[in-house]
Amino acid sequence: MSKFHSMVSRRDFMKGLGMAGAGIGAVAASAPVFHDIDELIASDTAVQPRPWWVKERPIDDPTIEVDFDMMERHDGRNQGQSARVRAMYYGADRVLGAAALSAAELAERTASNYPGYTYRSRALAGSFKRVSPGTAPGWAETKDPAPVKTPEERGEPKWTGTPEEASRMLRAAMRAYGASLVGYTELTQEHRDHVIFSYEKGDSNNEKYIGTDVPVTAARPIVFENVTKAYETTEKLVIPNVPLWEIALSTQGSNELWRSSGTLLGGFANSNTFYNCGNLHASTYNFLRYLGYQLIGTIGNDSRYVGSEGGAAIMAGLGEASRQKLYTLTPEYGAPGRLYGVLTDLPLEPTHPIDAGIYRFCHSCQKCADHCPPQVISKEKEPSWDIPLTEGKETIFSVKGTKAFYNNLPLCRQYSNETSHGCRICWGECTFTVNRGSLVHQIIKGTVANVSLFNTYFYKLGEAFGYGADAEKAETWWDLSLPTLGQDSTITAADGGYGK
Amino acid sequence: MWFFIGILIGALVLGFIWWLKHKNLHLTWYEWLIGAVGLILLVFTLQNFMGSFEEVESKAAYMFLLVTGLPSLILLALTWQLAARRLSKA
Repeated sequence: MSKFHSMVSRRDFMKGLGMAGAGIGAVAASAPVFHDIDELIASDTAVQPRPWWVKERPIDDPTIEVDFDMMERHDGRNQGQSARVRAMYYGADRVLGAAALSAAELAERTASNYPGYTYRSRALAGSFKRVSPGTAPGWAETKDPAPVKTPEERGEPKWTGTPEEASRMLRAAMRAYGASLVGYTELTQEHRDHVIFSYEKGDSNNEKYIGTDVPVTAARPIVFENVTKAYETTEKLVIPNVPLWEIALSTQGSNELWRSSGTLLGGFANSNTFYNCGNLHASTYNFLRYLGYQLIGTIGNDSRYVGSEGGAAIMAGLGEASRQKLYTLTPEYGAPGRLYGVLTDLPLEPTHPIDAGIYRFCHSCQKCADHCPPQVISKEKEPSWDIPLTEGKETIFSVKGTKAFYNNLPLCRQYSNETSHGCRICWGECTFTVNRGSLVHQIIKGTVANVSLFNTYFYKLGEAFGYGADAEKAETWWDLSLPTLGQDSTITAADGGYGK
Repeated sequence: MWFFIGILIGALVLGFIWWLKHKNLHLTWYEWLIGAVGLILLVFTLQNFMGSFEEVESKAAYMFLLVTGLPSLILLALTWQLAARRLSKA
């Protein structure tokens, strides 16, 4: 048949129609259809999607090099935040004098109407109250609010499913309770021998322990025992020698508040990340309890952390290490937010460490270090296995076994306590603490993940374009219309049309 | 919004091509290339200029005008001048 008068013959048209119909049919047949919740949790679409530029790495092989043989279980009492540890390096007089300096700065800035210290700023930051149930959770039991009944108490079998199903189910539940990113690691023997803290932090930060040993009643040892259930006494915290998995999770922060760091609003940025921790802990504990499983450790109470929350986040692929050692930066929201790590005996599928080029970028970028008022952040070009001395003394607050950049954490906390705002300027200054309005951020993040050649250029560009913290932003903040809690929870959403 | 901006730019480019055909004018391959780069850079600038204001980063917004906006206009002007001078000689 001649095609002179028509570009498409009737036969071709019908053939095309058939092909299109078959194509639509194939797409429809392969599209997910969920009949009930059990099918939904088994679906791949329930897996937490990451930005396109994030690559997975093998289990236990994050971008920061780790040598478990070098690593010893860290004593949670030896933290840079601890008054006792700070006094070891800077003396008791300076540690105890911090509050007076902070009060003097507050009075001076209030008198001069400094940005972020206006009447309304003082009201906002000073009125933060964390009122929620479950604010005093236990090591293995949370009795307030009243716990749900276990499967045994209800007379039904405990929930069972594959680790993949359990992982998706728990992630969906924790996200609904207020978590942002959620990942998992298996608690291997190496983790038990080298990663889990040897002591809880407990009350060891208290100034009354300056110059003394911390008694076990104030900070208990964390021990493994051949029991099936975790428990605690006044002298120890017990982890059972049963298969366990660590849940690494984050809650979010408010970028705009963090960019006001160096003011009272910047201090409030830190408080803002804690708003829902008590509810998140209590709900997650009870969710696992309802299913018939344990939650060990606490979400939101760092006095009973099972280990470094940054380490767990890195191993589970929530983010990567940074110029501030294990302070983790996530591809989604950079520095703001809060990390937690807890244990469970619900079998979970481990998630992989990630490579988004973040740690490699930190090798070239030192924006946080440049802007750090007490200059406690390393400016070394390359990370090291060797922990440097601190003020000529052994650095007892850092953990060996990672090829990292090391910070003077006692001076960091000491300086923070001596200010009226708590500092945290590094979080607001971080190159990765950016929003999503400009397309350029996605382009740069995608480039950084694959090519390190432009890293120094991007770091300098961020400075030139004026990204970062500024006290003046504390006053313009009041006129902004921001999301609830100031946190962009849609940044981790892939379904429902919420993700941009 | 960017959906409509895309439609608008598509319509403008189509209109420009029709106008060239109507006037029986032709651009060389490198004039097309420089013009396309200039246009992409201009759209990139507009997106980041407006996006930066959304992010409350006014300094970044103006820096985009300078760092990518100015080169985009130079490239577009270069295309125009190359074509105009070549056609005026013909």
